Amino acid sequence: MKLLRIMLKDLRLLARDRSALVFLVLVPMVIILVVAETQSGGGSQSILFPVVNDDQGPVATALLKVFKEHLTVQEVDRATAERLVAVENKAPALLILPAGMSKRYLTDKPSKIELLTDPAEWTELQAIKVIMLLADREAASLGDPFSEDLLTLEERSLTGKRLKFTSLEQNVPGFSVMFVLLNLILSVAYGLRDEETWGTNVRLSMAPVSQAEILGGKLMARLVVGTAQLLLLLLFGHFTYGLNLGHSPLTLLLVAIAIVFSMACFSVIIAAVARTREQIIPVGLSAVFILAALGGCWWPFFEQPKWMQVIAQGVMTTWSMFAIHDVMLRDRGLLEVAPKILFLLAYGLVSFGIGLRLFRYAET
Amino acid sequence: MSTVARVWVAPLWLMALVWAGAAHAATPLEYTRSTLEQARAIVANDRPHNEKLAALSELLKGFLDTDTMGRDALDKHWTQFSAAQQKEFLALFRELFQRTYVQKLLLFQKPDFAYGGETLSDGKATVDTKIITPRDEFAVTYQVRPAGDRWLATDIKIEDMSLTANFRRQLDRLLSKSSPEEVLGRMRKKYGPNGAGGDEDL
Repeated sequence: MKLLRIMLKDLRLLARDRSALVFLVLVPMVIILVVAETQSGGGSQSILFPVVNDDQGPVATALLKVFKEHLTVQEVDRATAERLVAVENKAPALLILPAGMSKRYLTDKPSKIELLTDPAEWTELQAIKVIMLLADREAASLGDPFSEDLLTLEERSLTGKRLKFTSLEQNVPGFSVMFVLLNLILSVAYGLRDEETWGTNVRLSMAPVSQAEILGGKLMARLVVGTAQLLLLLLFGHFTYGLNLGHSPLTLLLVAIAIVFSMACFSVIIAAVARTREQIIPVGLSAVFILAALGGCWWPFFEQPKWMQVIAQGVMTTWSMFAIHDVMLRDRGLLEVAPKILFLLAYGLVSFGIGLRLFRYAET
Repeated sequence: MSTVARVWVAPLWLMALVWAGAAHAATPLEYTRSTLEQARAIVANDRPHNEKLAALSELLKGFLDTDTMGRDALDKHWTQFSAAQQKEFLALFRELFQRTYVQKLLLFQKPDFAYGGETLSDGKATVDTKIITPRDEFAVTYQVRPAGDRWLATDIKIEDMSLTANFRRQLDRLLSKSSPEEVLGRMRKKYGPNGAGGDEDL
């Protein structure tokens, strides 16, 4: 009987925290939705594949027909194709079908087709290569069955020296970013709510400093810790697994600072939404999981369905991963990464502004 | 009509019929055009790929002289094959050549043919045609020989490349390192009754 009463009392206490109850169900549902959509989403159809069709002949038409069954094929000129792959990183590779390829094919003369890649998008690239193999088999079955390979593929990286990457090069930075985000959101939110418990907020409110200065100062401390944490995790990947950290330590440092700055500032919004200590875990965890999943921390960004990729353009984890990939996988320098660094800094400032407006200490 | 008259008129009627038949036998160009236009209709049809393949193979059986092509393709190696092997080779080569030609034709989704002239020499003929696509055109020349009221293609040249000569080069290379039985074995695997087709080199 006593056991039952204690149980009922605790259930009543839990039922009072309605937001916690909502997050108890809502968080797993959202995560399940995101994971399910990513794993079973657009498949290879969501992969953009620019093709420079200089041939315009029947063999090119036959190849394109196969590609179009599996990929989002865009026939464009070479400059546009290179921009989509190397500058905008919207496509993992571009294919050049040379002029006269059909004539050479039909007269059993070999042709060289070029695949210019962005190896940083290695999973999508793998999908494209599998489909190219399929198309090649189909083209071969259309041509002379006696003959040797009439289409030879030459692969070249447009964005760096290497042609291949491993899953570690996705996972180490991805999980590093996620754990830094987790640390920032929980530490900022708990730190601010703890001040209510300790009464520090009342003393601070009497001090001659603005709330922006108070929050800003606190975030600066988190920025230092978070940046050190991110760099240490990436160094761990470098020394343990031999991951490339790019050729410029300064670029890596600035990217790390920009990433942590955007996340630390965003943490203030989470601290504002989670109005009690009890709400921090469900609200914080759901934010971390959703941002990590959308931003490509758990899996390559382009594996997500198109609609998720569009939404993901609005979250800082996406731009953090883009910037890290630019440094680590594409070996880009400061000038090339600068737009992403500036975006992350701007994202942080806007988040800080919103957080500042929303955040209120509970009345003590 | 008197009996004498009947005796003279009957053979004249017969001769007239034979002459009329000869007069209406298709020229090499007309026969090639007729075959290719039927092929075009099949290729341009919306039927599934395999059905088109089967229809084209059936049509081309009456146009391709694959026995002559097969003998030409084996060239100096012809005598290395026993009579039974030669017979089997020609059967497999028929399947191989038809598949090669038909599948090349099917690369063109809606081919348009243009017809040049015909050149007759020593009872054989050459017919010049073109496959026209929106951006390009492909010269295809048929070497044909008379066979009754038909003309049979003994070689096809695409952009001046002879398909028979191409097979000759490949078979010569293969037979320089493999026996006739080994080559037949590989052809059987692909083009025999239970052949899997495929794209790997023989």
